[in-house]
Amino acid sequence: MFNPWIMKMEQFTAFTPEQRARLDALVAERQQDYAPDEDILVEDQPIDECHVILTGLAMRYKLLRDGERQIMAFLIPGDLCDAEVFVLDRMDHSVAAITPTTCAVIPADTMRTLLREVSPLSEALWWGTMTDLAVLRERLVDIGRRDARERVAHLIYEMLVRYRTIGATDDDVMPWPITQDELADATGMTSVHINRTLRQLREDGLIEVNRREMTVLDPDRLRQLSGFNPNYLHLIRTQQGHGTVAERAGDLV
Amino acid sequence: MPRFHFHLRDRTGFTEDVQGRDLADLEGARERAVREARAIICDDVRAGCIDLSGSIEVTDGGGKVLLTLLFSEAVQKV
Repeated sequence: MFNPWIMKMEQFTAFTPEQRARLDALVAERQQDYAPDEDILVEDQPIDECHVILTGLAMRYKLLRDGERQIMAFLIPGDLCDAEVFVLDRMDHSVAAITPTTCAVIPADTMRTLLREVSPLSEALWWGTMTDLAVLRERLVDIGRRDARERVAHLIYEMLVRYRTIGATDDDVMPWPITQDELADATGMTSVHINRTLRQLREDGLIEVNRREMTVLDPDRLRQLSGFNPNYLHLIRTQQGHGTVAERAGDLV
Repeated sequence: MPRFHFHLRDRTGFTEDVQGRDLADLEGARERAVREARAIICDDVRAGCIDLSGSIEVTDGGGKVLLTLLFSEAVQKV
């Protein structure tokens, strides 16, 4: 079965066939569908289950008093929405679906048992959390220091690498359901400014955007423009050249 | 809520807003246009250029122009 959670963690560790079967069974056990804009996790609400994105796209966000929104992260298949569940009792931000999204829902106690019995899993979850934090740091650098073109280019290149690692691209064509408003809220820009920046990237022959897809026409130049350094994604086994894992994104990093 | 589109005309050319944004009324659209213009002016200033000759053209879904906000109206010269 297509298990993007395993595909993501495989960047860090290898699972035995038995361990893979166990993770597959767990992911298949309980799934929940979310409509676009539907909350998966709500700020200040108690948490006692883990949500792993299986299909679709979601966002971590905060709403401000005046209705403004800051998006802290885009979550793609394989991403865990709430590693907090083991330590914290309430969410300090919200997670919502952007497109129709399916999550595997895993009770916290089941996860605890799993962490004891599937030895590579606990380190892999740590790796995932550390990597998510590193991605968040890039958003901080975006907002603090990168100019508009670098910011948007960097995010696009990062999404391409992340989609590649879970095998969700057709070469350099990736899913792109992110609207200009969402992109604006993720980069601290406005939608007209996003449009102008995307138009310039298109005119420079770097990208092509359709309704639901983006094609990166010239990954090398996009990477140069954005100053992208793949180190923060910690694609350890890709860098070590491990077979199919390395094939997925190896040429980009 | 009606949908408004915010097209940009500036020194870099014409940037079409295909997606648009839902807002309560034309007054809300005007406020939004001011914010959009200011964001573009800010970015240009960071790049070392002040261009107040641009404008934001607000249209409805059918492409009818509802208002044109000049950059020079979005900021005050003191």
